[in-house]
Amino acid sequence: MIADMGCTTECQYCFVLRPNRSLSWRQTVMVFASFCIITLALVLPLVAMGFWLVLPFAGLELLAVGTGFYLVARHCHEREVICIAADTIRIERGRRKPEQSLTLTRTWARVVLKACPRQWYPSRLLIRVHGQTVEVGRFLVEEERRQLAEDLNRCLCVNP
Amino acid sequence: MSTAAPTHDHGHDHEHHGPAPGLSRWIFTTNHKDIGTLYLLFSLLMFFVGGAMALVIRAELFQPGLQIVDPHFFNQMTTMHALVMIFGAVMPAFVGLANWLIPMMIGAPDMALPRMNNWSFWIMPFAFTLLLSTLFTAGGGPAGGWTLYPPLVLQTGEAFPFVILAVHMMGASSIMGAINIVATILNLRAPTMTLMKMPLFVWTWLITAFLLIAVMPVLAGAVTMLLTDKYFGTSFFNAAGGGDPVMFQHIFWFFGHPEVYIMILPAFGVVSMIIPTFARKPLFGYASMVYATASIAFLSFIVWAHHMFTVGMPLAGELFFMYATMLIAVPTGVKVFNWVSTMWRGSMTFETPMLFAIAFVVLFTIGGFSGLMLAIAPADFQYQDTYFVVAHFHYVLVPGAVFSIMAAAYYWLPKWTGHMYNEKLGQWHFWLSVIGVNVLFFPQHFLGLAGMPRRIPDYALQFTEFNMISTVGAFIFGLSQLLFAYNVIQTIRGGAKATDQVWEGAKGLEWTLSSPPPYHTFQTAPRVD
Repeated sequence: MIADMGCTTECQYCFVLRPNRSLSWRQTVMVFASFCIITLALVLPLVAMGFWLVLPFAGLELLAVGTGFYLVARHCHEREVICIAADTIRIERGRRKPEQSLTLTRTWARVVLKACPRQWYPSRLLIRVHGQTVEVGRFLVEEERRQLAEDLNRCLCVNP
Repeated sequence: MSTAAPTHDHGHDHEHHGPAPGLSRWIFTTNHKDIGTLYLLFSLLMFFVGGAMALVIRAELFQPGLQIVDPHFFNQMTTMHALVMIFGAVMPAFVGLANWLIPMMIGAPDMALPRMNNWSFWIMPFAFTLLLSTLFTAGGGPAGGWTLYPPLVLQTGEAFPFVILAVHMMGASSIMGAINIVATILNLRAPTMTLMKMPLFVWTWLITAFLLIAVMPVLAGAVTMLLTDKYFGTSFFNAAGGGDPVMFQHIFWFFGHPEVYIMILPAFGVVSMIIPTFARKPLFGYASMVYATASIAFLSFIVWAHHMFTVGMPLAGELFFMYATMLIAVPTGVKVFNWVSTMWRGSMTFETPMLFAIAFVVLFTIGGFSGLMLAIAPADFQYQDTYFVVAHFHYVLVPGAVFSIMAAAYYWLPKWTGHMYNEKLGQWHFWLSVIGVNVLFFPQHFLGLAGMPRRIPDYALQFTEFNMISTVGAFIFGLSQLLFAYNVIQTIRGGAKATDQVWEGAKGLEWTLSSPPPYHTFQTAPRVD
């Protein structure tokens, strides 16, 4: 999903990209808690009766469930912020706060939407400056990626 | 905050993004459609392996006396047939359908955990190779029944630890599949798709995945305790050491009964998708279908002891489990009522998927009614361990779960492959199957009521005629499945071009995609009305 933030004090144009997600972090925790409660409610009576070998398997399973949900939630909370200023393009990646940042020179920047030679794979949106290439919007759907490429091109063509 | 390293463009960065060529595409794939295809083809293979075992059983039972196999091998066949059909055919088929359909139905690009998806599939061939190879070990494969009751199962020869390991692997695969499905449904729904707008198939799978995650550790713990009883001197289920063999039955069925619903809830979902399409009406009572599914899932946890009424329970226990079991008829009745109401005054046509769906409704209901008979504790003392039980669960699982899988295959095959299947062959397959399955299983009710025990290679003379009829039905049903395999293969290879909509009355996001759909599903963000 793309949120076009328009102008800010620092950026002429700012795009915030994030993957689609239908479960908030709080809901993720609640779903995981429900798994824990249900599983332990089934398993603990058996453990109390002496069949304790069920417990390590339940623990392992809940660990797998928790890890799976955490990884998905982590991915779903990814953000990419593309800030186009007068002379630079700053690309920030992170979740709650920027964790990676890269600044490119705006003057020589080119936006390339590269189709995969085999049609069943998605295209790649690249920003190229002096042989350096940065991919953005990997988690967007095809239409959004195309739209973003057009918007970036339009913004870069406007004189600072 | 670190500084991101830019990727250096050498002019061939696309090379990492093309699909792997040849076999490695299938081994390393993380694409939900590829993995769905692998699951479905694997389950078809296992369906024929388990079916061949069933034909060995029925051939031996064609007439009294021992003709073809010795009793020990017969027992291995009954055990393996069940394990292969449950864990190798029915469950993977539904996971395959989930892989193919859930992302397309909810508007997601893929499953939430694609690498784990690959892993959960590729465990299966190894698990079943291990399981089937035990037939060649000293002492043969497991022969104590799929329920693995001690102390009988502890008499298994060298195969025993391999069987336990295979069951663990199947369980791990199921758990990973379930985690992936829950994570996908909850996290990756299209922006406007609320829970109560999800297709019924997605709902039934969400609830099934919850059941799987809840009960699989119980199975894993139970079979591990069998292992430690045999090899490490524990006495969990050994009365001589202070353990309780009946407790294994309680633990097993605490897993086993939800397992039954794990195999049937997605079938409810499939039928709830197909009937509205060919009745050209929206599903009657969508919300009640969702609540009925959830009710059945809840009740599945409190009915396990109806499988063991005769072990000697207190009267209060028998009454509780009897009434709790009967309660399941209420939400199940709601579902059957809703399917029939959906068809009522609909503009119905009878293509192969619809025929299988209607057969499902009728024949599953017969299985449900015999289940109600078995739920009556005093009557169950008569039916326990007879062919009546065999007839009951086969009516639920074959014209129930298996027919729904076939209905699903015919319904979505044009979408998956881009080709229409051969309708005439599909109709032949349906009629031979529906006749075969009734000739096969209906006489088994009479055999059971007359007192023929299950899991025996030989029987008294008075059971001969019904057994002969049953065996004829088995071969009709078994051989007619070759038509299905042929039809599927022919459709994959080519055929008339399918439209994107495929069926006139089909509704849902998957029908908005091209046939076959693009490798990465949604090119545009879908909107749900």
